[in-house]
Amino acid sequence: MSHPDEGTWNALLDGEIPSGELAPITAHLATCAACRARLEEARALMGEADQLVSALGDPAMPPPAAIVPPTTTRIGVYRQLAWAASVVLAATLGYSVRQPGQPAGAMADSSSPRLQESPESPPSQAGASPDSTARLPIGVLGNRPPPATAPASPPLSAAAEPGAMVRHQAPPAHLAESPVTVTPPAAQVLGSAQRLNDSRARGLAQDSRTLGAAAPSLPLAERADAIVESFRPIEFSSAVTLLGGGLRLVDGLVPDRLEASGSTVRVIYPLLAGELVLEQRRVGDSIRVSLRGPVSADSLAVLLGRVR
Amino acid sequence: MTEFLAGLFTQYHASLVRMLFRRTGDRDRAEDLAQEVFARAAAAPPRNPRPWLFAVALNLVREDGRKAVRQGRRLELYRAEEQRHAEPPDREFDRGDNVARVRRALDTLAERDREALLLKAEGFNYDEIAATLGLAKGAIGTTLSRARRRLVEAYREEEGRSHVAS
Repeated sequence: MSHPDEGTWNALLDGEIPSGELAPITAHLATCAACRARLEEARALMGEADQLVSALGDPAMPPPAAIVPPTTTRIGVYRQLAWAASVVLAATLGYSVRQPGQPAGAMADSSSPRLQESPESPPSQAGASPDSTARLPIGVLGNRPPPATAPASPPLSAAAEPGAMVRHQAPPAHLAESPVTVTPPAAQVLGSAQRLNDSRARGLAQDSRTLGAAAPSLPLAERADAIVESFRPIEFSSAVTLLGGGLRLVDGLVPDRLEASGSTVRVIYPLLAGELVLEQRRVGDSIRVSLRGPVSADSLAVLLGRVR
Repeated sequence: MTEFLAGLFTQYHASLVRMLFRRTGDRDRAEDLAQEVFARAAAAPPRNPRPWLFAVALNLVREDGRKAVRQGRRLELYRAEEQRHAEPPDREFDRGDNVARVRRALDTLAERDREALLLKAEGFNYDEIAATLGLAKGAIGTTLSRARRRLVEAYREEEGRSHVAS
């Protein structure tokens, strides 16, 4: 395969390369250092451009405390843009939470991918302490979700029994053929999770009671340590290759770092209150994602809708 | 307002206003243009609302710009935003100054490139951007690549000029 052009790199980063066309690109990336460098450059430009456009503001939002202009130092760019992104995100999420009854604010066109019942339960998935971390149900993104009306909050059923399934709403056609797994609504998860003492592991809080998975043998803190230790930092191009292309990112945010363990990739975004973690792995033709962070379930739902 | 139109409004109004605000730098003008767009949607409900609404909005911006040039009127491209929170005077100045730099950088882009970038910021995918702007989907990656690179380069030039001037 000849070297892809800049338009292809941007399409790859935007998640717009059809799954059938990913293999030759990722294969080329694995063997071409120059193209990996071009991909990294394209990603940096994309991040900077996103921050600059965000800096133009939103008439519905209060202004951020400060706008940190990008610098020309690459490492400095990521750090400063990540900080600026966290400020913008904090303001955005604050607005979304404060005024739920009004037309959606900064996330107006974001909507959660619609989830369908599946007989398959995911492996240990999120819980969250009521006042710290929430995790959203897992969705599988085969392609970019189409714009949709902001979903109404599903009425909370009784506390989910282990293995209980919840149907939210009918999936759009492009997701129907992809295997989708649902966990109990995040709001229920929020009420039943346990808080961990370890501050790093807090973001990884899991509640096997809510999720119905078999109770792990280790105490939560030790499980979290084990989970934390198994992830290692990786380069962006390696993440793309690991996932067979189609690395999912939260539109509008600049990641702080990427980590991987086995076939699972984590994209970590810095927030003022902690870290937002987008975890993903390839399942057949699709990428299975989950999202967790120190924000409300509503905000996570909005963010999940911005995963591209 | 019909249920359909109310649904369009709920779903797209804020995003439309934000895109228009970023495009024009004028909140009132953005609101006025958005109102005009929805008024036209009420008269002729679109089948594919999102690309249609934003395409009409961008057309109105272009028409408005051409009209202003013909009339010899100088457009106000940037107006200071209302401050909801008290900020130290130097920080407020820095923020407004930086926004102006970003806007000047954005104005250096070709019209289509600028519009593609703003639509992408509103969560449009390539199909939607292509439908809104009347471009081929295969050209969107290149368009965005060019737009992003040009915006960042132009911003860095603006930054360099401000450092020299200060």
